[in-house]
Order: sequence, then structure tokens, then C-alpha cells
Amino acid sequence: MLQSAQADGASRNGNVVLRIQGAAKTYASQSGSCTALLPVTSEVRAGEFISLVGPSGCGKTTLLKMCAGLITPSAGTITFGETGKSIAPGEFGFVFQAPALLPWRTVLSNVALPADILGLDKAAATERARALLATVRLAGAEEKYPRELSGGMQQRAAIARALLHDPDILFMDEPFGALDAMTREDLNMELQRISQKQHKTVLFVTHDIEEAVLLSDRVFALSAGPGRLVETIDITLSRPRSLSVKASPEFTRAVARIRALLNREETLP
Amino acid sequence: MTAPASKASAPQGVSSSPFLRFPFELALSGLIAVALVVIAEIAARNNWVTPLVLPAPSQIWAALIDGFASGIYLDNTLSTLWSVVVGFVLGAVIAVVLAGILSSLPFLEKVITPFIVAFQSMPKVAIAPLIIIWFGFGDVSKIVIVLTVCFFPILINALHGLKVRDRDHYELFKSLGATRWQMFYRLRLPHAVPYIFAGLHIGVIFALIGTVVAEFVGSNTGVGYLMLQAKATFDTPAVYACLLILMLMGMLLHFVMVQIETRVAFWANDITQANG
Repeated sequence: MLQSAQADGASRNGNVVLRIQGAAKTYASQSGSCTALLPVTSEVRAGEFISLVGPSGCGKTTLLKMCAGLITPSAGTITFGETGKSIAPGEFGFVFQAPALLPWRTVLSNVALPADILGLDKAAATERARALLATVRLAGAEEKYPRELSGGMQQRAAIARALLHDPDILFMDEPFGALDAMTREDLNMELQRISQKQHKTVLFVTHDIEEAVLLSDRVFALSAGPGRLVETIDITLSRPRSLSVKASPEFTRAVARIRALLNREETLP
Repeated sequence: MTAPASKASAPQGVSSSPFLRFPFELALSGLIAVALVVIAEIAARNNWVTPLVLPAPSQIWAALIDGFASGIYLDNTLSTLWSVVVGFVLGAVIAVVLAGILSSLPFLEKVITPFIVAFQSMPKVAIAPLIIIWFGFGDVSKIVIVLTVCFFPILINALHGLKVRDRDHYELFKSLGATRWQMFYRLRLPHAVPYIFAGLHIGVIFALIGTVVAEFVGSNTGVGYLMLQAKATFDTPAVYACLLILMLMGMLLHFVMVQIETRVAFWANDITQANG
């Protein structure tokens, strides 16, 4: 089986970079309070690719943004490495569902934006931005403006931007959700290549189970109403993975298992 | 006479259709303008209307030439233009700076907003007489009136542009630990630029209105003052000549603003051009 206790792949030997201890989120509303996410306890190790998968309203984005420090947990803590504190701004890269490029900046200048905010050396940042644009196959688009790029190209630029300050952790909130299936597959493969090559720890939110299995070392399956972490599933498919892995029995089993977890009522015999 | 000319101009253009359309429309507009002038000239020469109401275009043209030849029109045109430009630039700078401060201090904005709404609801030209009492006859009063008149549309638009924030953009800056100043300077201000220009377009025309009103109520210079003088002597051609100068001035100011906008707010321009 794919139980978490059994598998302990090479990628899980790293140090703990994020320690999630009973982190929960409750929003105050007019009619009392609304629970977005029940307490979650888990940890993320260096170099791991983790997907948070589940239906709308399961709190996967809430959990991601709490990990990034963009949302404060109502209860519990999420600490970064051995600091005992939550992750500091600038120590991670964030990719949103929308590319969120600034329309008044060129693509190159957009990718170099983190350097402007973090006060990094401008010349070095520009060089690195050029290299990253080449990495995401956008060489030649440096001087274009975002509106001149397709949705897929804009999202590539957004990924390059998230990598500019060379963060160890990448948070991605349904980054390919708005793209067509073929562009999405291309970007899945590129994301795998980049995260492997640059040894990034990735937390990746998606509602696409196949995408989650294809990319991840571990999948956090969340369920809605109220949002909670149901189970953590190890994916032991060897790397690098190609799109053809989707036809393998192991892949199909993992997808079926997560689907069953997320739709318990329907699949009960 | 005119029919062959227009026929010749249309095919003369470029063969592709988007280019063909524009010169034709322009030619038609020109043709209508010429026709109106010709009709007015005929009507005046045959005394169909009294010259006191509608003087012959040739008389208006003569008044214009005389006025500029004597130097009076040029001096007063420059005086009007000077008040418009100085008042407008001052009003725009103060409006944008104030909008920046208010949008950064939500508490202050909430306190100040009722006053802005109250002043905005009042016809600003109505305080022109009061400003004359405060600052006396002359350029200072003119500039203060212009400033007051063009200030509000710019302030309101700037506030609007500075406030609207894309949630992803906001979280992107937050994730990088941006300071309030960085958030303002690198996100909110550039985002507000197209909005500010919408305010500036209204403001520059308001500025011209403000100048003329100021010259009506308390000044001895400017095109508005010339108009009052011409009116006093029933010199209708001169009144029309002044109106013509003001119209051309308004068009020039608008043209300059559009030119600046296409350069400064280029990323928003292209979208409107594509839609238009």
C-alpha cells in the first residue's frame, strides 16, 4: 500500500523546514464564527514536494497561506526550520492562481521585482532574472509587457519571479488552475525539472488529483465542511517522472485512493 | 467643386480598410465645417440674421487678425494660458499629494471624506467672488480659482486609483515584506496613474472654465476680460474671436494631456485603444 508509515524515500531525509502544530483557522462572521480549517499537525521536510489537494472550501489555500505567514492561524503554530518562529517575508516565493504581474513593468522588470522590495543588488538581480526567464523558456520576452503574453507565459514569468531571490521554499496556490490542459502538462513537467534541479521545497495547492500525484512526494488530502486534513499519502513513483507515468498502475492506484478519501460517502460499498 | 475633391481623397489613402475609413470620416467632418462657415457667411451678407447675433465669419476672422496684429490678443491669450497652466499644475500636485496622504491614513480619510463630498457638491465657480475678495484683482485670484476648480476631480480620481488593490498584488508585496512606502510607491501609485489621468483630463478643461470665470468676475487681463470688453461695445465679431481662441486653447490643452498620457500611462492606453 501507499501508507505513510511504510514509505520513506530519499526526499524525506531532509531537515524539517515547516512544523505545523495544531494550526487552525476560524473566521468571525455575523452569525458567530465559521471554521475554515480544523487543527492540522504535520511537518514539511527540505526538498519535499507536497500537494494540498481537496474540493473547494476544504481550507487548502488557508493552510498554504498560513504556512507562508500571509494568514495568521487562530490556534496552533507553524514554525520555520529551527527558528521557532513563523517564516519571514522574503524567505519564500509565492505563486498565485493569477500571474499577478504588474502591467506597468516589463517582463524582466516584473521578474526582478523581489530584488526591488528586498533591496538586493540591482545588476545581479537583472542578470538572475534573465537566467530565470531562460529557465522557464521565456528568453526573448524580457522587454515585453505582461499583456503581450499568453496566460501560460505569464504564469511562467510569475514562477521565475518567485524564484528570483532564491528562496528555499516555494508556495504555489493553484498556479495552473486557469490554464488549458496541454499548457498545464507542459508547466507540470517544467515545475518538476526546476524544483528538482534547484532543490526547492514546494507546497502546491491544487484541486486536480492527477496533478497532485504526478508532482508530489506526499499529498495532503483535505476535505470540506469544515476543512480538515484527512490523510497524508506518500507517492513513491521514481523521479524524474514523465507524463507517461500517468498510465502506470501505481499512479492510477494512488489517484483512486485519494479520490476515495475525498468522496468517502460515494465510494463506501 | 467639393464632390470631386472628396472622391479623390478617399481612394488616395491606403488600400487597407482601417486606414481608408479614417481620412474619409475626417474629410466629411471638414466638409461639414466648411459648409457651416459658408452658410453663415451667406446668411450674414444677405442680412438673414442681424450681425449683432451672428456676424459674418469673414468679420470674425478680420477681428481675430486685428486683435493679434495689435498684440492685445496674444498678450491676453498668454495671460489666460499662464493662469490655466499654473493653476492646473498646482491643483494637480496638491490633489495627488493629498490623495496619497489620505489613502495611506484610512482614519484621516474617513474624517476628511464628508468635507470632500460637501465641497465637491458645491459649484466651485460660485466661490470665485469670495476669492476675489480675499486675493484681490489679478493673477493670484485667477490661479487660486483655477486651482480650486480643477482640484476635486483630480483628488477624487486619484483616491479611487490609490485605493483599488488587486488582492494577489497585495499579498505578493506582503509576501516579500514590502514596507508601506514600497507598497505605495511601487504598487498603489503606478496603479493609480490611469485614474489620475482621467481626473487630469477633466481637470484641465475645468481649469479653462475656472480661468474664464475668474476673468469675468475680477480681472483686467485674459481672454475672458477681452470678451467682457467686446460685449460692452457690442463688438460681436470680437466676442466670437475670443470664443474661437478659447476653443482652440481647450483643444490644445486636451491634446497635450493625451500626448502625456500615452507616454506615462502606456500600459493602460493600449487596452483602451484596442477596445476603441
